[in-house]
Amino acid sequence: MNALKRNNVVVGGKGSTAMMFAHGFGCDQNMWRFVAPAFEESYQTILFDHVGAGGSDLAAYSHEKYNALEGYAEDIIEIGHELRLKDAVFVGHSVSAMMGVIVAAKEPQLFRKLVLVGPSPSYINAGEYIGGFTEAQIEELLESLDSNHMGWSIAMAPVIMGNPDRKELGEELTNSFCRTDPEIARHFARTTFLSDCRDILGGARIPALILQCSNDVIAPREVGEYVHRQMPNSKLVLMEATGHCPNLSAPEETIAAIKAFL
Amino acid sequence: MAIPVDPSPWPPLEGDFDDFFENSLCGFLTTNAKVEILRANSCIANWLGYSTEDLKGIHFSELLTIGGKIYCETHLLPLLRMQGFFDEVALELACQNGERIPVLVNAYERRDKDGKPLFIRVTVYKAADRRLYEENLRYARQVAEMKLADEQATSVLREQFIAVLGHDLRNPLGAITGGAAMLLARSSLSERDASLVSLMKDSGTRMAELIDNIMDFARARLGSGILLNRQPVLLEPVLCHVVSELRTAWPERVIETDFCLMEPIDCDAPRLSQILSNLVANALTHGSPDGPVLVNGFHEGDVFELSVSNSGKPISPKALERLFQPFTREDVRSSQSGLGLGLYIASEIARAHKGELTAASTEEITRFTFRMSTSI
Repeated sequence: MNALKRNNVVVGGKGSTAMMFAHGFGCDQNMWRFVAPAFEESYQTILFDHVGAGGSDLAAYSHEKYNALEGYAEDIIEIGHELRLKDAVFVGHSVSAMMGVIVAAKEPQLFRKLVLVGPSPSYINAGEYIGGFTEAQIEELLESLDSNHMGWSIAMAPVIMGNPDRKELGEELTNSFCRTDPEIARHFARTTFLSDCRDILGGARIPALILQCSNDVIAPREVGEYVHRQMPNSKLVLMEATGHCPNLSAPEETIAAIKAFL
Repeated sequence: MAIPVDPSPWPPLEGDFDDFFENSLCGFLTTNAKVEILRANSCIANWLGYSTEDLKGIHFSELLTIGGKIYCETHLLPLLRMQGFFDEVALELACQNGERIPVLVNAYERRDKDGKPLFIRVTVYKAADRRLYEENLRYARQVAEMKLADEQATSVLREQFIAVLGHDLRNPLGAITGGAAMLLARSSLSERDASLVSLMKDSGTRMAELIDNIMDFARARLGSGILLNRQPVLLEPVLCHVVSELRTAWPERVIETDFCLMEPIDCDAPRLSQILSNLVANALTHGSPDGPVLVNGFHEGDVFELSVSNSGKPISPKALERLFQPFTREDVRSSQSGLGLGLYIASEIARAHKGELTAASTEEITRFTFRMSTSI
């Protein structure tokens, strides 16, 4: 199985520099639908779904591999290799921002710039560090995903799970965006919210833009400021946009900030 | 998903709508594009333990437990922005008194002509009973999974125990039967002693057969089933030898054979001999003592068939059903019929040959048939 098929990679746009967009927990490449088109004129745009999300190959999901963000970072490197990417721009939302940092340290020639949208290296408060959540709160989140179907089981009917190639089966279902297998969503939540990338922030030496929203409960302002302090070559932009997904709630502001950085 | 856009065909009733909105059995919320509450009805305010005024300006996700809040930020609000609605999402309200109320939530986004969000309408239903039912299902599934895992582990252990036991019993038994054979070869034994030793040797041989059956059973149950050593064989002399052994053991009984087996057949001949020996011994034991046992074998086209028939009391339909399961014994004379593994092993050998062993029984005749394909 090649990485392009496994991760449902969609290449668009025109330009000699490539721009790769990575979605975060809870969604799929649709997350970039209001942002990516703005770059198609001057960049080659690369969208993909993490394994387990959207149109990715669910059969490629491995509990062992995706137990850590490094597993997802490996996929990004593989996609980069298959597309022969060099000096590209990486735009990562939420947990994928940290995947970009991991890749930048591991394969420095792959990306020349990082755009980190709502990044958080660790979600749990620890001593001086403010992650935004107590350990008990994160435990509660994981427990509620374990015990409650929330909406995942609706988003991913068995009929689609058994027919990954027949996407049209899903079209008639409600909540057809950001489909995720409920088991995988649970595990991805565990991997995401228990991750701690604070030690590796300094390892990415390429220029990085940090987009910090106001009133983001997932990645509060202190977290964005922490990332900025730890990454020597970074620039912090405080956005007017609220919430955790400015790529959806404030696409114009997001596009403008990224363009100014590039 | 229908978003109501058409004006209502019903004439407005004074006060009716406000009453419906405020005192409905479900919670209604309207938020602005930033998902901050503009208006809430008293139903949801009562559930939460706040006044409707308290709820004004609060972000919708603030009403939820921490899991729901994160789920809302990472999944629901993106979904709302992308497809304009979400349906039947199970969340929990975090009430002022610390209680949690399981709810189902539907929401849709009203947009302007450019697709920009204007406001969001949210409907919240209590789902405590449904949640309890889901919890019960989840609990039942967990218990069932644990029981199953436990049973499987026990069953593997049991079968491993059988295999090891069978293997370890063989050596001491070999010493006993070998010793008995050596004693018999001596001329110094009295006639009475010789008959005792001979009895011991026969019992030892019988016990070795039982152990072989147990080992076959364990092999069939564990891993890939009975393994075959297949090669092309002219079967007629092999089968005739089995029958002649049984004739010697049952001199007073008639065993008739009819074979038409000209071509070599690719099979495990010792294993097929085991099937035949088992079927004929069964027929001799359970069939009418006066009637003959008939053995037929033919090879036609790419079908090889071997059948054993006898007359006598038919096998009941109920017994027929369980006939090829392990440890099936005839109820009446259970003390004499061994472990009840013979037919199970015979059918497993048939299965290993990609063939099948079947049984049919009427007042006139009881017939066991082994049939396999000889094409590759």
